Amino acid sequence: MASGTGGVAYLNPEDGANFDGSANALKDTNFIFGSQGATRLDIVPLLAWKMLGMNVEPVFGIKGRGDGRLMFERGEANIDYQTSSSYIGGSMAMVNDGKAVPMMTWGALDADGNIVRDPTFPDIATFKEVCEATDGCETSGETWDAWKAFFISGFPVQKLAFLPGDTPQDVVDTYTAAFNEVIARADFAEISAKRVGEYPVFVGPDAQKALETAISVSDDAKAYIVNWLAEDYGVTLK
Amino acid sequence: MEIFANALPALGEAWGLILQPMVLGYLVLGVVMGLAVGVFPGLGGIAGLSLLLPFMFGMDPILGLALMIGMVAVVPTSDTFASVLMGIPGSSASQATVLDGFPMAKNGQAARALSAAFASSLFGGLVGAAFLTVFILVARPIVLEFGLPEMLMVTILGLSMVAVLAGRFALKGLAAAGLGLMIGTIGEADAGGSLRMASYDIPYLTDGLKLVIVGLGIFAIPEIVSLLRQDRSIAKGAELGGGWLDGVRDWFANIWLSVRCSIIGVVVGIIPGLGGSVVDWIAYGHSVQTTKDKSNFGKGEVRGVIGPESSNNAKEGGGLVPTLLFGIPGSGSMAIFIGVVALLGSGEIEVGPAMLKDNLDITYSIVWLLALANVVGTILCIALSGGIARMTTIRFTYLAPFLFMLISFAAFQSGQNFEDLLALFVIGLIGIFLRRFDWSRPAFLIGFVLSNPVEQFTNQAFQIASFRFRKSFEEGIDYIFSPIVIILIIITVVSVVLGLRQAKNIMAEGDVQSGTKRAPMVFLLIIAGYLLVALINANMIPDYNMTDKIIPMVIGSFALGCCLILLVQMIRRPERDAIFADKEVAGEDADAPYGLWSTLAWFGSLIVGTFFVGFIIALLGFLITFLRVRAGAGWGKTLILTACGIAFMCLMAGVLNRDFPPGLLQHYVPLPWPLGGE
Repeated sequence: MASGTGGVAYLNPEDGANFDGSANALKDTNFIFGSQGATRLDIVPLLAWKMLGMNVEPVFGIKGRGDGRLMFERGEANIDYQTSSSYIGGSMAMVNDGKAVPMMTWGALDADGNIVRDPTFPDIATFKEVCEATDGCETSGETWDAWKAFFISGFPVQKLAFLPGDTPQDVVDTYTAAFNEVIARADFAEISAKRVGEYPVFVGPDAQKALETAISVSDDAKAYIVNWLAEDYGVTLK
Repeated sequence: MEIFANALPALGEAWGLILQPMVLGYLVLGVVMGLAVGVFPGLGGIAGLSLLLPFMFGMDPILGLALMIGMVAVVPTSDTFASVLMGIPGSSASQATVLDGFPMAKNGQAARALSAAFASSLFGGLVGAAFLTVFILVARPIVLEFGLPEMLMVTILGLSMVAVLAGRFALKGLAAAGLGLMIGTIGEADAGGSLRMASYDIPYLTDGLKLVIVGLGIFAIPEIVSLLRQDRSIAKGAELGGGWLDGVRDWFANIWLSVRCSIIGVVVGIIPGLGGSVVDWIAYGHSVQTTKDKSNFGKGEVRGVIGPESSNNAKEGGGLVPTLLFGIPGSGSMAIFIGVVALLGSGEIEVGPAMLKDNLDITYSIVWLLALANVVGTILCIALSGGIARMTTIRFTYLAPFLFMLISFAAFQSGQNFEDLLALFVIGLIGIFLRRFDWSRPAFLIGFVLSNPVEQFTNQAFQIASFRFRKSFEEGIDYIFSPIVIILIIITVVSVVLGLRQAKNIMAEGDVQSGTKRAPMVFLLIIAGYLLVALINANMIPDYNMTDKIIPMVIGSFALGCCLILLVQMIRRPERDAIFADKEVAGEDADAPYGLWSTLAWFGSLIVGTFFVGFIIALLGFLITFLRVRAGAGWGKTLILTACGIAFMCLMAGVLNRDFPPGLLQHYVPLPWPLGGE
């Protein structure tokens, strides 16, 4: 079984007022972001903001994205992002109260591997659109490929169910059948949209295919990321 | 104000939901299951909750909540048994209870200590719920006032309790706390991922040491070994004085202390990110500071039991606030709790800001189910306490092998690694020597527990503060010195000054005689040596990872400084000075019929045996040999007791679906459970 999620980045209302669909007016603002660490899922937003030319300083060492949201709510951080389920559960209320302004989603993948609007948040622009509108940000080339590679392994194929390698086939089949039954429930779409957002669920061979796209990152993209982490954050990977 | 107008009807609806026979029945069921799991040291709510998880989907929400809350609520109550009767801190919530609860048991006052603790727990839980009923409505903005500088100050307030618990030599207490802090930094740093005193060649160390293991090693092992050496019962003379009614009377006589500590518990519990680990120490410190005659603390003062126990159940209620209002779990069991609430409501109940608007009745049901579960759990515990207290009159040699069995199993549950047992043994050794040379063990534990929050909050607050200072000086100052921070600083300074003045009266290890220079100095040099190595190790972290380096460097230098001053003092003072406190010179340990090393070797043999043949087979050999050789029991008694021990272990592990540590044998020959693993 494999399923995905998306992510939404948002700003505080003050800086959000300067956001016009491009990050041009945000380049002189200093942002602070509660981060779990540059080598975690936060690699996707950190790189995206950097590509937009924004000056985002991460405060490392928080325990989860919930702590990051709390930091944003307390006004200690002024930029944040959440995966779709936490955005629906926690951050949407802030947006509705005017305490936060959504900036962009990371988007979703269509069947051909293109980045399109996130089906859960069709009204929010994707990073790709914002990047295109921003001076100096390019949606092709080495940097973009690296970002896209890590986005794909981080979000559209994020939730995977694994069984131990030596599990007998009949057990695997039972699990596959069970997942199929769950998806076939009449109220599945409704419940899952409320919890995790509207994302496809792959079962069986499709899940295997999804896994492969998630773990195949080109050597160029890898080299770029390793270099960037070492330069900006002093992190070395072995 | 609108929200208050909605509150009363919601409260009424909540009681309507709770007061149904079915709901109450499920609550009692949950409490009984929680009790069965909770008396096990180290197996808390997480183990129990995961057991319930499969039954939750599609269950009526209120019934599921009752079952689950019954189980969670009773854990901080039931782990008091282990703290008082055996000196084992069952969970982080009952560390401070050990300090006076266990000495009371040694004085034959076990039943009194237990019932005083339970009465306080019950009362604390109710005060907490009452406070929350009103407070939860206005909690959100107040919780948001607690930024990083504020959390750092609360952590420092917790750390300042070291002053009260430092013992006769403040420097020794400070060095012990520093050592605890340093041991807490072992492993991968949160911020930059640098390794401190660890290497990827030993993956076990990169995760750092777990609280269960350090708690058991520092408190339980030294006490078990000491009692076993003396070959007597826990209660001196095997007599029980003071029934459970006395304990309830003690609590009633100190009811205002109980009220104050309950409020401390709720308020500190509410702050997300701190968890419960500081609460009981702050409550203990408060109990000491408000008691006129402090001479009995550490030797069996009932107020030292009432304070922490009042706060730790109230804390559970406080902990609901970040969980329910912000969707941020304060602990592992709360994380499962959030997951289960999602399953229960089939999407109707959403933990988070909406809880107050859309589900206030459910929120109130949770608050009061928690309080009610406390009541049921406490009554059951008090009813049991008279009987269980009799355990303290049994000859300890018959209890010890089973305690070794239990703590080994508990330690293994923390990481499912053989190294857990080794770590337990090593920390146990440190604990034994801290106890022997009268270095404050509570100070060490406070240091360890608060190591991670101190480091994390310092780094993050510093980073954000410097960001604000770059904007403007005023903004920076406003951020660091908010009114809450200033109030906390004042409280901390007052409690340190008062604490240092009182510390000399509080002898957690009793009156320890002094002896020659050699042994205490060797121990000091070993500690100083470790600190020095840790400092050099931290210094090797490159400067761009300053966040991973600064705290170990500062704390390590400070602790090493304390050690050096102590060393100078030791060289200059004559032998028999109080600085050379040594339990092996005179007193219970010195007069014990058995030596330290031969006694410790029994525990060591269980671990070595486990390494070769796995836990259950090693345990079989250990129990038989121990009971025959050390306890001198006949074959009949030996076999019956061994069979009971093994059967009990298998039953608990089987029900909870746990594995036992496998050994080399299991590596080569696959064996069925419980002999093998998988």
